Amino acid sequence: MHDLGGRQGFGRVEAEPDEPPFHQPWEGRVHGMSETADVGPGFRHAIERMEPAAYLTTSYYEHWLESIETRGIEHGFFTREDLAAAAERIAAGEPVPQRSDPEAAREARAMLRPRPQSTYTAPAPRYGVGDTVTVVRVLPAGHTRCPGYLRGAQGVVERVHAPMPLLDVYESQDGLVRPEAWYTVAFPAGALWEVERPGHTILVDLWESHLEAT
Amino acid sequence: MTEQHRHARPKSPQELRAAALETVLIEKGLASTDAIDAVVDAFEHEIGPQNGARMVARAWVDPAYRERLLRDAAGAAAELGYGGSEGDHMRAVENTPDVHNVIVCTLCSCYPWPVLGIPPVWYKSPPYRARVVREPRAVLAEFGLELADDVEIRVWDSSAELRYIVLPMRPEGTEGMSEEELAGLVTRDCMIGVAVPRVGAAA
Repeated sequence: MHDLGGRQGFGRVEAEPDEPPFHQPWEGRVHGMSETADVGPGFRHAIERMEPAAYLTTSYYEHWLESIETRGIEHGFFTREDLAAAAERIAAGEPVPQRSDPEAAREARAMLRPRPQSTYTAPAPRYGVGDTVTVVRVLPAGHTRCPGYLRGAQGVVERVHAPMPLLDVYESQDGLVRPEAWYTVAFPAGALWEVERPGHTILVDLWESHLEAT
Repeated sequence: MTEQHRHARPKSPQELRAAALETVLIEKGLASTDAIDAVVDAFEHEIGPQNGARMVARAWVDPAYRERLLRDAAGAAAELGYGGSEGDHMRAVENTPDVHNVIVCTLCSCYPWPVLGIPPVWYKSPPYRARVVREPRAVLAEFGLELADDVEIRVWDSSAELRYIVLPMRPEGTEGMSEEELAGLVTRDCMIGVAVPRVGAAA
């Protein structure tokens, strides 16, 4: 359900004035847990596997809660029963336990500052700036960073980027690192849908696996 | 933990679920209270659109910084101490009289946290993600932004490792303003691309 680009039937975009970063303290706790607790890869894929109606009717941080729970259970860090037992204790009035780990807190702060980046090696990019490319029609099973609205569309390479792990396989295949070149590709919106005039341009970052030569 | 906290029972199912999860993570040694606190504190007090606004204002007054920002936005952010999670790779896209940029993430809610903070709910919501790629002029009009027909709209769908920030045009009538005053004109929405800076508008 998450692949929303171009879907119809949604109403106005409703902006909330003076919105705080977290609307409720529990949202901040979930953000902090997600950033600091390692329960394995697949953050987004766990959200994408949510039941569609639930996906659309729950909030961003409920999606995150779902992701931490799902991955923690699937990777064997805890069980559904552990969560239920803890919920019972909290509902009965027990406080959330506290645990101090100054080193983990230091690492958490460092993660939110400029930090060194890994570089990856991969075969030379197959496409160059200005090349016309076609987005694959057959999308991979599981997670993909190729939005469905682009399947089969033709675009022009606007920028070529240094290789990075293809997140399709990283997310779906338990953290498998398979670097490849990726590109910013420009698509005239009129080639995707009948659009309002004048037309506009959509620019999307796609890995080489999402493209074929035209 | 104060007495008040000790007896504060969760008020919503989400709060209960989050508290239960935190309990399990703490008891299994997978998380620590102070690390979670550090993240919450950073997003509530240090990281937010004021960071991006400082970069935009700097770019408006310093052509060499503008050039660095457009070439390597993460590097330009790091010069001011901003970076990290969801901003290791960033690109600034520049509005001109002929081009207006707007950012979205149709698959998820990718957003340049170090320079804009936590995305607003509308940015993460299905209507914006579904519609802005297909009918950007209609969406921008809902934000009160009407663009001339000859302005090309570029919608950047952040689907991979780059996070985008819009470098808006410096408004007319700001010639005498200091960098700090200029930063005050640059709202979060200007750097997403659903607004443009206006003199007299509050940041």
